[in-house]
Amino acid sequence: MASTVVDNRTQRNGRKIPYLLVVPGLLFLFVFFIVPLITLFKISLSTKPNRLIPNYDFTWEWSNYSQAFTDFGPQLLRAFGYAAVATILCAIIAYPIAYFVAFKAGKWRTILLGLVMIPFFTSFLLRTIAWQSILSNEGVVVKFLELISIDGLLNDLGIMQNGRLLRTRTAVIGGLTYNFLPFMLLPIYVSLEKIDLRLVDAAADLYSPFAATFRKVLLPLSLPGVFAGTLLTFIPATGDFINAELLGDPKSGSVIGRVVQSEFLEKNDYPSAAAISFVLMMIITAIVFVYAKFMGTEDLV
Amino acid sequence: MSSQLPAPNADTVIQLDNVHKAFGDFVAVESANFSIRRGEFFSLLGPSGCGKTTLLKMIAGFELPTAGRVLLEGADVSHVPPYKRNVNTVFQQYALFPHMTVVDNVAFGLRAKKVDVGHATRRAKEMLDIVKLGEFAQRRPAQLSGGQQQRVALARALVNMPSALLLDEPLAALDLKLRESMQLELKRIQREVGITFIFVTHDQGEALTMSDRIAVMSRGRVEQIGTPEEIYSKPASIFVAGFIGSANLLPGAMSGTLEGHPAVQLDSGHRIGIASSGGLSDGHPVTVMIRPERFNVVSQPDPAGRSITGTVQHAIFHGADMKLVVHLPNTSGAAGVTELSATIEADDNLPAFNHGDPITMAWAVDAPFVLQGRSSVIGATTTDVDEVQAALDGKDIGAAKHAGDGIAASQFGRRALIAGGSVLGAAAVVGGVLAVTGGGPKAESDTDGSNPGGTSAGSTLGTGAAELRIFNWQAYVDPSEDGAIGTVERFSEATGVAVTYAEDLNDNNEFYAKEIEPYLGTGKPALWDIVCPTNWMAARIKNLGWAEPLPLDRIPNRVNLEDRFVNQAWDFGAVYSLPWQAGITGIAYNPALTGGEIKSINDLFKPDFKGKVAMLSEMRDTLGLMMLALGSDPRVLDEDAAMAALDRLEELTNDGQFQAFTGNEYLAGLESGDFVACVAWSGDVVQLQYTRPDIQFVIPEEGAMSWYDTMIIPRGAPNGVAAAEWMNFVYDPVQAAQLTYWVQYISPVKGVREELIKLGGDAAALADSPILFPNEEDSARLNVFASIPDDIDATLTERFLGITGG
Repeated sequence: MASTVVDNRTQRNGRKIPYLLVVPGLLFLFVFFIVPLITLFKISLSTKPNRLIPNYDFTWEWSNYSQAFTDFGPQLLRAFGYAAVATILCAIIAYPIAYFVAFKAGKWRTILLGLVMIPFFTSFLLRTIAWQSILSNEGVVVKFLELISIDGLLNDLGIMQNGRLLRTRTAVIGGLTYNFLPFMLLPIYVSLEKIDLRLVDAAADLYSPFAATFRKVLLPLSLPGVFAGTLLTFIPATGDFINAELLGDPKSGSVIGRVVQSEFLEKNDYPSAAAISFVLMMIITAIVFVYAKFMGTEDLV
Repeated sequence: MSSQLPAPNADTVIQLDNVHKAFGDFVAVESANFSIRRGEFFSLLGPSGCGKTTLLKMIAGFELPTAGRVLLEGADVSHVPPYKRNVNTVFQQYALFPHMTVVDNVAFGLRAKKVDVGHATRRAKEMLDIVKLGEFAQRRPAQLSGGQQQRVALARALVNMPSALLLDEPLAALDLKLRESMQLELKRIQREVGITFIFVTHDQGEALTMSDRIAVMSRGRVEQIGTPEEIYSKPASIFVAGFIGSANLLPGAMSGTLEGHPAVQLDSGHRIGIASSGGLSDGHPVTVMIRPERFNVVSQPDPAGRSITGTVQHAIFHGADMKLVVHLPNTSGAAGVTELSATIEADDNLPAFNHGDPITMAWAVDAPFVLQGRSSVIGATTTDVDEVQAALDGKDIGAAKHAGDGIAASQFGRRALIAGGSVLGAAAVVGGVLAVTGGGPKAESDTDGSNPGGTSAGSTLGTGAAELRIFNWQAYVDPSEDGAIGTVERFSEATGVAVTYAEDLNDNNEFYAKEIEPYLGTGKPALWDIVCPTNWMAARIKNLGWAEPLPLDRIPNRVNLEDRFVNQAWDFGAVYSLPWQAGITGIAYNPALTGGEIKSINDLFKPDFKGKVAMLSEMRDTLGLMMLALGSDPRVLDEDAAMAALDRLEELTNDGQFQAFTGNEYLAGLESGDFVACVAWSGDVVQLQYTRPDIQFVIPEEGAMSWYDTMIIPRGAPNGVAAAEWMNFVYDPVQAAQLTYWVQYISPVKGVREELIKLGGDAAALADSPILFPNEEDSARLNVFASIPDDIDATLTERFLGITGG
C-alpha cells in the first residue's frame, strides 16, 4: 500500500516537469508579447492631445480603427496584393529549386542549398539596394529587354512604366519575391526531402505517368512545406516597407507598412499607427485561418 | 511443393532475351536468358549484390537493360516506362502512400487507369477482403502493423490484375513468426488470384518453401533455374550447392573406379565411390557434395568406399534429429582437418556421442553429387556449422543477439540522426536568415543608440560622464583616413575627452520619434550631449523646452559665427544652438540626359521628364521649391499658398512625373541615370562632382531653399561641459576649414575661406566654389522656410506624406 502511494507521487511529480519546463517560455511570451500587445491595443484606442508629447488619453477611440480603413484602404489592398503575388511567385520559383536540390542534386545538395542561402546572410536592406542597380535604366535587365525589343510590349502590359523597371509595381513585387524566397524554399525543401522516393516508383508502377505522380503523391506530401512557406512569406511581405520604399514610385510604393512607419516616425501619431497595426494583424490572422482551413494540414502526414 | 508445377502447355508471361545490365564497369546482370510461365511462383534467389533486384527492376521498368530484350506477354517492353507495363510491384518497405487511406492506396492503380471511382473502390474493397483487411479500409498506413501494411501493398498491386506480380524481398522487414505465416498467406493468395508471382529473396528457405521454380543468381549470372528439388539435389554449380541448404563440399579429382563405381580422390586423402562420373575423365578436378541428412552412422566402414571415418567434435540434440560435427583427419599429410556436418534421425538406438569419439558415417550410392571444379570452401558450408556453434554456447548466442541488437539500434540511431540532423540543420539555417534579415545593421545601430551608458538625470549641465556623445547625420564629419586625422580624433587628442559619434540621423521626424520624444517627452534625460537636427526641428525641440542654454562662457570661438546665423527668429542671439553646416536645396541634373540646361524649377515638370525626376522626402525642401515655382514666398507662413503648392505636387505625382521622393539615395539615381534631374542638396553634389564632373547643380531662377543643421544640447545631457568644448573646437576656423574641406557644405564659421586658401591645392579650389561660398546675388535668392506652428506642420506633413506615398 505504502509503495503504491510513493509510486503515485513519483509519477505525479514526473508529470509536473513538462509544465515547469514550459514556464520560462510562457513568461517570455507574457513579457515580450502579451504585455506589449495589450499596451499597443490600449494606445490604439487612445488619443494623443499633443502630437509632440507622448501622453495618451484612453478614450475608447474606435475611430482610430475606422480611419485605418477609410484613410488607408488603397495601401492595405496594395500590400495584400503585392504579398499575395510575391508569395505565389515565391512558390513557383522555390518549388522547382527545392525539388531539384532535394531529389536531383546528389552530392551537390549542400553546396546548392548553400548557394541559395548565402546571399541571404547579408543585410536585407543591402540586397534591396542592390536590386536598385540591377533594375536601373542603365542596368543589365533593362538593357537586355531593350536589346530583344520587348520593352515596348512590357510597357503596354504595365510591367514596365515609362520604359523603366525600377520604381514600378513590378520592381516592388520582384524585390519581395527575391527577399522572401528562402522562407518559401527551405520549408518546401524540408518537406520534399522527407518524402520516400520509392513512393514515386510505386506510383509509376501503378500506371501513373510522372505528371500524375507529382499531382497525387509528391505535391500532397509536400503541401505542409508549401503551407509553412506561404505563411512565412506572406505574413512578413504584407508588412514590409523596405521594398516598397526603395523599389516603388510614390504610388506603387505606398503600402500599409510604410503608412505604419510614417504614422509612428513622421507624424508621431501612435494611436493611429497602433490601430493600423491591429487592423493589419486581424486581417492577416483571418486570412491565415481561412487558408489553414482550406489547406487542411492536419490531414497531411 | 512440386504439386504446384505449371501445366506443360502454360504459356510464357515474361521472357528475358539475353538481358544485360552494366553500371559503368560493374556488370549487374549478365545475359539473363529465361522465361517465366503463366501462373507460376517464380523466385529470384541469391545473396545481396547478385543482381536479382536489378533484374526485377528491369522487368518492372525502373531500370533499362544495357543490352537484350524484356518481353511481356510476347511484346518487347525493354524501353517502355513502368507506368505502361502491366506488371505491379510489392516494394521492400511497401512504399504505401502515407497521405491516403488504405482503400485509396489500393484503388490508386485503378484510378490511374481511369476506372471510375465507384468501381475502383468496390474492387479495392474486394481485394482488401481477400487479404483479410476489409475492416481497415479507412485507416492510414501508419495506423497498421508491418504485416498489415505488407498485405495492403499486396492488395494494391494485385487489384490491377497484372500479368505478373513482382515482389522485392517483401518479407524481409517482418519478424520470423510473421514471416512464416506470410509465406503461407502469399502462397494462398497466389493460388486464389492465379497471377504469376516473381519473388526476389536472399533467403533460400523462403524460396524453397514457396516457389514453383527458382532462379539462383550469383554475381550477375543466373547459375541455375529449376524446381526447388532439382536445385537442392542436383545443383548446377558449387555456388548453388553451397547456397541452397547445407552441404558438405569435398574437393578432389576423378580417379579411376572403386568397387565398380567411379571414384574421387579427395584432397583430404580419402577416396570415395560415387554413382556416376558424369562423363568426366580421370584427373578432372571436381567437388563432391553430400547433404548432411544423407549420412548414416554405421559401425563398420563400407567396403565400397561409401563411408568415411572421423572424430566427433560436437553433437547437438534437436528433438527430431541430431546434428553432428565431425572432424576428418587429413590422411594426405596436409595440415588441418576437414569439418563435416551430418543430420541424423534421433531415435532411441543412437549411441552416445562424446567429444573425440571415433565415428564412421556411410551414405547411399546416389548421395554424393559431383560438381565440376574445386570448391574453395571445404567441408560443411558455414551456416550449418555456425548454427551448431551458436547452439553449443548459450552465452554466445545471447551475446550475438545483443550485438545484433546493438547494431540495429545504432543504425537506427544514425538514421534518425541524419534525418533529424538535416531538419535541424535546415531549421538552423532558417534561424540564421531570420536573424540576419530581422536584425542586421539596424539592430546593431539600435543597440548603439539605446545604450544610455549610465547617464544621470540633471537639469544643469553635467560634467561627470567620461565621454561625449554626439548624434549627427551621415558623412557629416571628416573621418581619419588616408593619413589624415579626423575632427573627432583631433578633438579627443586636444581635450582628452573620449567621443562616441553616431551617424544615425537620417530623417528629422524619425529622429524626433526615436531619440527625443521617448526620453525628453517622458521626463527622462537625453541620451546624447549634442544632437544636430535641421533648424526647424531644433526650433521645435527648443520650443518644447527640451534644449539646454549653451554655456556661452565656455565657447569663446562662437564669435566666429557668421553674422547671418546669429539672429534667427527661434533662437535670437544663438544662445541655444550653434549651426554645424548649412546648405542649399537646389536642382541637380545630368545635361547629357536632359539635353540642355535646367534653369527653372518648372523645367522639372516638363512632360519629357515624366517619371525621370526625383524630389526630396524632406517636406520643407520639396514644398519650398514648389512654392517658389508657383511664385509664392516660402519664407512667410501662408497656409493657403502651401496648400496650393501641395495641390500642384499631388497633381504632378499622380501624373507620374516623379519617380521617387528620396533622402540621400537620389545620388545613386543621379549617378546611374535613372534620374535626369532632381531636387538636391548642395554639398552632396559638390562631392559627386569629383567623380562625375558632368553633373550640374543649379540655384533655379525662382530661387532655392537654404537650411542649416544645428548643434543643440538636449535637456539633461550628461556631459554638457564637454559638449561646449566640442563646439568651441569646431568653431576654430582652422578646424572648421578641415571639416568644410571634407563635407563640402557651407560653413557657418567665419574665416574658413581664408583657412582653405592657406591649405592650398584642392582645398584652395573650394574657396572659389559658388556653392560653398555663394555670391551676394545668389545669397539673395536663398530662402529659409518659414517657421510654422505645430498644428499647421501636422496638417502639411500629413498631406505631404499622403502624396509621397509615405
